Amino acid sequence: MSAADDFEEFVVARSGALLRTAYLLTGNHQDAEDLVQTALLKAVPRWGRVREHEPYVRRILVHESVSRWRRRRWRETSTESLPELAARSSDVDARLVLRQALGMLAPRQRAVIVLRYLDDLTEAQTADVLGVSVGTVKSQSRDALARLRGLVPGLDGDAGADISDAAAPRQR
Amino acid sequence: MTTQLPERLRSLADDAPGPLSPVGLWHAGRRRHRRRVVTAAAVVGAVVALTAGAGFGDYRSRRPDPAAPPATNSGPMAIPDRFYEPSPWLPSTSKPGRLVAVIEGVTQQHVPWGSSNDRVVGIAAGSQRYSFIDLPERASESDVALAPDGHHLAYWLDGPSNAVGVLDVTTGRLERHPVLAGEHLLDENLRWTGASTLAVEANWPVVKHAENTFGEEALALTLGSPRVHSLPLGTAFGDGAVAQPSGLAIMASQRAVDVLDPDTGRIIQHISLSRRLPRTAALDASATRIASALETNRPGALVVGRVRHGHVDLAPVPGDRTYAAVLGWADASHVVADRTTGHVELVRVDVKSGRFQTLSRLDAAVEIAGEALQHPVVAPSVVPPRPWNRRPILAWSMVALALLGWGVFLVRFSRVRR
Repeated sequence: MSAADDFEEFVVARSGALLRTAYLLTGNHQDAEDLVQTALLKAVPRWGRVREHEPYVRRILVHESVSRWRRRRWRETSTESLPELAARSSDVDARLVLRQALGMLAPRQRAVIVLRYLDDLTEAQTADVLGVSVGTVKSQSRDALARLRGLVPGLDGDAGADISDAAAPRQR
Repeated sequence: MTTQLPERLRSLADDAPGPLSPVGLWHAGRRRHRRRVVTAAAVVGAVVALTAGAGFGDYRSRRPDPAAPPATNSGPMAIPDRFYEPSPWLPSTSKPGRLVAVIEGVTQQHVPWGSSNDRVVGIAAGSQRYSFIDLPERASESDVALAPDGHHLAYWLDGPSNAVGVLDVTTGRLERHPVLAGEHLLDENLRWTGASTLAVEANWPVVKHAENTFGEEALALTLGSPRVHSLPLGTAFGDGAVAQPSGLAIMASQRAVDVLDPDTGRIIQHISLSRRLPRTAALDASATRIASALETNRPGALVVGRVRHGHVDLAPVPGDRTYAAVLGWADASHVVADRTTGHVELVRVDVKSGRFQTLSRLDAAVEIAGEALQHPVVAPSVVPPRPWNRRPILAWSMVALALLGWGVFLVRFSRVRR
């Protein structure tokens, strides 16, 4: 199988999972698609030399996400509290609140949360993807969770027990 | 609804768009890679080309003209038919070779910013190469005196003790001569009285009988010798001095000239003058003729006279009143003088007829080696290099790089927005 075929097979099989990660990192469809597409395009030149494709693409994805946030933040303003929501169904409201809360985290904190609790990466794997130490992942995770608890009403103190380091996601 | 974060994240992720189509992605990735390689190569190439171009241009503008004659450290010195205003970007050296002239008080510019005031530019004999001369330990604003043979430059040294430095411009070697230790010198003069003898005059404040006054002393130094001996004090030999480059140190009041033996300081001839000479005068090599320019603050006429029985009757030379100073005697019937008519030129004047011949045009205040004024030979001038002002080059390079960077940023930003 050629590298191009292998690449296309990977896109078909894993772009959905990558888009889920990207959606939580960016908060909207268009940016998520653009982020995944850019990560895949960047992965092409070294595709034949990389053994583990998904961790490699995921690493590009997260770094690209952080870089984009840095490039864009001068034209975006963040707020300390979430805006009032119009009356909608509770499920939609909950998702909207969580999405907005994620958007208020620092990009690395957001990435730690998404990689640890959506993609089920261990602290070591998360540190490897982000290119930081395990200690940094721990402190970023702790700070991000504390912030989320303050921003998302349904995510109370009990939820913190579920998502504590003791209840770390399973190894993949 | 669950309060657990992983479940809520998975629920939110369900809103993510569907999988991407792989069609065309591989080739788009290859194109993107090629584009980036080409862009990076272009940026690197532009920077290298810019740097190399600036460096080569600067080198070309600084290197000596290959058509210029070689520098000469011996033989007669020719006077260029024009002395140019030196560029502030000339290179520096402590070994420029024998000098036909120096220009004092030139500001040297440095990159990226900064300048050094009051530097000395030397013009090499033969090659006519202009360069800033590194004068080690030079006291700031010290005058510089060029030896008549163009081999040495004398100047006052910096430091707590008073010393005169003599730089051999052919070897770069500095000779130190401590003088008048312990005095706080106020005003100092240096004057070469031969190829290896230097007269020094200085004064310093003295409180005598509760009155402020000045101490004053004149000394003679000999190159290669630690011997320093006093010279008789006449008037200050800055103004009113009699310049004579061929071996005798001569000092004078404005109405008299004393011819000294520079080796002993002894007066060997006393010459009285028929009129006051307000300016530097020139005695010929045989000590039988004196010439000077009248007036102090504007061009004037020339006066000359022959020494007879220890006295000179000074008479005006026919011709116009455009002479600023007499620099020396070219031969028994001609003097070399500065003439001012809109611009300054060096002329050889027949003291009988007043006719003059232009030797050189002076675009800057040059001090010409004394030997070059005797039987002067004129050579076509070599236009000195005009090194590029490297500040605009640096600034434009930075602007070009900034524009390049901005362009790259815009391209990347526009891709992000798409």
